[in-house]
Amino acid sequence: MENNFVANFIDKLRNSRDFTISFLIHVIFVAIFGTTVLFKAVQEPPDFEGGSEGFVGSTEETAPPPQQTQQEMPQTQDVTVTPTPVNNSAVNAITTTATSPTSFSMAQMVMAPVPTAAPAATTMSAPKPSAPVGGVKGTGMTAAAAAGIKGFTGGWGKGSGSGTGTRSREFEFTAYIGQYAGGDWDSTISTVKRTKPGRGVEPDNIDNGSLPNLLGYISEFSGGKIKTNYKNVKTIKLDSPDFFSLKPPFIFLTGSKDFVLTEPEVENLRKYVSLGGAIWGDSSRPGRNSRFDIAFRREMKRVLPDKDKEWEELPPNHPVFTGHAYYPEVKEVPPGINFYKEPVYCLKIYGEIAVIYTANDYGDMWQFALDTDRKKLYLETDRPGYAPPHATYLAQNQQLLDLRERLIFNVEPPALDMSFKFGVNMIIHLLTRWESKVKSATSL
Amino acid sequence: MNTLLFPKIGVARAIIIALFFTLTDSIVFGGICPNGGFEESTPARDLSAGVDSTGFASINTATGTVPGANGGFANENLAFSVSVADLNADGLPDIAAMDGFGVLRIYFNSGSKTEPKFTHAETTSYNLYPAPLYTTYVTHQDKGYADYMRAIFFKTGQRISLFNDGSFGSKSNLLVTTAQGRMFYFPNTGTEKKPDFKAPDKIEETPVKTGSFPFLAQALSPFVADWNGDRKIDVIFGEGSYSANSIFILLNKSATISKFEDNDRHLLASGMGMEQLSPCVVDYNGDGHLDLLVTERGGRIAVYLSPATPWKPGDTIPFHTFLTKDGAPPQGVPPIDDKKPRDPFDIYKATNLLNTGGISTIGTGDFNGDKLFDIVVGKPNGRVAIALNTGTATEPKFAALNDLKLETTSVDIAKPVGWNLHLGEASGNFGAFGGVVKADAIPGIQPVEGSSFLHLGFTNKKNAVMDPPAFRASKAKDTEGQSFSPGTSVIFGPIPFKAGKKYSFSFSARGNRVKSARINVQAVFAGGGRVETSNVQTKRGVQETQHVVGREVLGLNLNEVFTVTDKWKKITTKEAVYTGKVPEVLMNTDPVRGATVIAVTLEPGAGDFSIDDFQVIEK
Repeated sequence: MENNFVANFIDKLRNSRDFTISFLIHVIFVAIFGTTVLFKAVQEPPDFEGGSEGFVGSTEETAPPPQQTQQEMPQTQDVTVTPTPVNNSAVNAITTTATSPTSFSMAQMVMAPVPTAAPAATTMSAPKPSAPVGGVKGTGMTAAAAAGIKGFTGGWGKGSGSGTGTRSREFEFTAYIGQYAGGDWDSTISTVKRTKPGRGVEPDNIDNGSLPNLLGYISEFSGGKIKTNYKNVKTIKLDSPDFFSLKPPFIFLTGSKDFVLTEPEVENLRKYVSLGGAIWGDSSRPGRNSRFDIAFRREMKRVLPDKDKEWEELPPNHPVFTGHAYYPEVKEVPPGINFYKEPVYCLKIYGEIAVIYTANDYGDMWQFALDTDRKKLYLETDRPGYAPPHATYLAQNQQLLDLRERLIFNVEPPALDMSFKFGVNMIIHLLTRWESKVKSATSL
Repeated sequence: MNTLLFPKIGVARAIIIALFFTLTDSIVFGGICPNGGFEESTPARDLSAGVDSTGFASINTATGTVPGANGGFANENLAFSVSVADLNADGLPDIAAMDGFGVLRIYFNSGSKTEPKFTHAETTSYNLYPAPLYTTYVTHQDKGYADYMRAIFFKTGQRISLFNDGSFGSKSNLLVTTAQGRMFYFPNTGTEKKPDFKAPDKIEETPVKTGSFPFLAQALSPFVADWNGDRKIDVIFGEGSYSANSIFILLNKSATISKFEDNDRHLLASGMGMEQLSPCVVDYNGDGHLDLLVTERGGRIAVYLSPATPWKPGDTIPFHTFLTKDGAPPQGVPPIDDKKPRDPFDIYKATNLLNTGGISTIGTGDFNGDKLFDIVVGKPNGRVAIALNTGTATEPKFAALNDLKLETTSVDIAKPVGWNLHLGEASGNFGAFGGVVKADAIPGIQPVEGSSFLHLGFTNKKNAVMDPPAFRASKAKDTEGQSFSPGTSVIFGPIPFKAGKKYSFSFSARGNRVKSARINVQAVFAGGGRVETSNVQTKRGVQETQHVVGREVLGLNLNEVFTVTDKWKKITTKEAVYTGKVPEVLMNTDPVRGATVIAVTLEPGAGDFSIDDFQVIEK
């Protein structure tokens, strides 16, 4: 009986030679490669799993970009361009705040070596969100991320309401201008050094300029509901750990030159926007492909290097342009200096603005002072030809004033007023954009 | 000249002289303006014929406020503009050069197909935005100064492109752009062999319509070419605006340049960090597609190569490289990866780039008959340079930019020390000459005293190919303080004054074909005034403002017309005294500034005027 079984089995094998050979080959393959993963699904680093090290769960960090060597310039008058590869494709590691693994390109997933030094997360005071259950549907935001953002972005506004509803709300915040290495981060502001008893000379006190004027405008015309003013503008170094204690609602970056962020600056900004912060870049030279334009787009892609997340234009139905915005009369991108009207660009995480970029030089428009009726420039002076004093709430950049209609165009009061209103809409949006999202996180 | 005060004198003699003048209560001033006899002078270049004293083609350049490389605004060289065309139908490329003050000159090529030869530049009648001359002393606060500066503002930094649209036979016409972004079309008003560009009276009011924008860009640099091959000439322009700086194209829907709409404007190439762009169009690599050669602020010459596919609106031409010496690969920078878009940032640092020296303009033409395009550059130092193409039709090579040497030279002008001359060439006073002339330099005219005198007239270098430039009739009449009349020059000298004192003036003058002459004297008090600070209360707190008092110009009520003949004549003005209110704070101060302004209007192109022995007498 047993012999018959064996004989029958052998007969069966003989009759199915192809299967047998195939089976044996598979056995050999399993024996040889059984311990090697031939095709491995790439797992993204977990998002915002607040462990003991801080907010960003993964200890893997992006490799530093190639060393930026400061090369000698030839004998020219404009030694202002910092040499750097524009197409900085040496993104050796991809990190993301998105949750969908399908959004990654495998070819780009070359993980960087584990850094020898721990990231600066130990200095952060970021919240430690709970386990990643729940989240916000359709955004990729985990509950942990939502908790982190809620903890970081809360506190700027009281009450609730968005769009024009924000007019009835009170806000209180300080705005920050980012100081980055190289470039001219202070291109649309003026700073003064004040000496304080016992503290010596304090560097980089902001005297006036773009953002102070914008805050002056928003303060003046919000009827006091938005408690900020021109004095509520501070500078912050982009590699400063103060980001996570000061919790700036946004960082205003401006300039007209090429610049390269240091790796600590990139890391800091990445963590900052991951927590719901926003970077607002405004080129001091309107138009595409200026030195700042090239540099800002390149450097922000180092901050948010996801290959699939490219710069996108704010659509016409974005909240800052709809009739529901703080100033509903802003219905489209307002023309900037010299009538440039580039779209507003952004990089998003969880479907919300992480980096906003305005390439129309609104910063220079905000250096003009409107009179209190907002219908004329503040030009009052008791002697023609001499520098007018500051307007009641805005400061006048005399040099720009002198050059209007000569080298600087589109700075008539209606255009300026619209640019201010656009700025206000954007600020209010940046202050409130996470509110509904983090509120709807299912496990909070 | 009063030899008692100006020469080196002994102490004893000086005491005697002082005693004499004290007794007569009359002092002849030396002081700030000691050069009343025009004996002292310094050399200055005479570029009225486009050639300097060393024989190089040289053009007056102007500086102006432009967006600076460091983010703000800076006073920089505005670059004079060059364009190449055969302007006298002799089959040879000529070079047109618009100087920094809006005077258009042409270097006619008198050589052969294989060997160019240029002697000097001839002046055209072109005159856009003729500026008035101020004929009184003005300060920054005066309307006259503002008007003058406004006119100069529009006058400076104009750039050109010669082109042929077929509507005027073989004549080349002219497209002009201003630094403020306006565009003007000048048809060639001459003949095929004698070009000229006379402007109609109201051309300033009729720029080429360019859509709804009030201006196109700043430091606009045009080039006219049929870019898309539709047999309609298009306008390509680079900009130097307070912006990213780009090269745009205005696609033409008609055969001539008359009007463009907003949607005719398209981005053609991005500056990629380069600024102050001046383009020209040429088939750089012989592939049948038009490419761009672009000069930029740093003096590099960028090449933008068109792809093989036909251009359509929306396409942008990618940056290719900068011109290097002999076409060698850029040295001192990492190798260029041809598979990636090239980035000027990478190539800026190459050590073997051709460099014009700064903001420049560029044109092309075949100057040696080898059917290869050569490069002409308007350099920031005012010289015209040519780089001959030593490569092939598909691989151009340029060894160096060589300054263009002419067959003639000019003689430097002797500028009188302590005096300023405003000859008004930017106002259309073409060929005006002014300078110190030594005895025997002009037959029949000897100084009244000393060895020299000041002479106004017109250059001897006449046009050879073209007719003499036409002096554009003034649209506005002369007003007090301003002259719009062609042929006007102004002699300006600072004079010391004291409040309450009486003065008179004497000088010797002569002239031919002098239409009018006038002397005007004013005083300015107290070394430029005194700064007062006041505070203004605003919601931002107390703001400090500063004002200057005592900078007023105080008329001495001396504004006399005088006449001259061809013989020297001594002219003495009436006594002048400032009788108005003198600011109390300035009563006891000696004003350090005052001015005498002598405005002379000659018959354009023909008159002359001489002056000598100018004296100021305090009583």
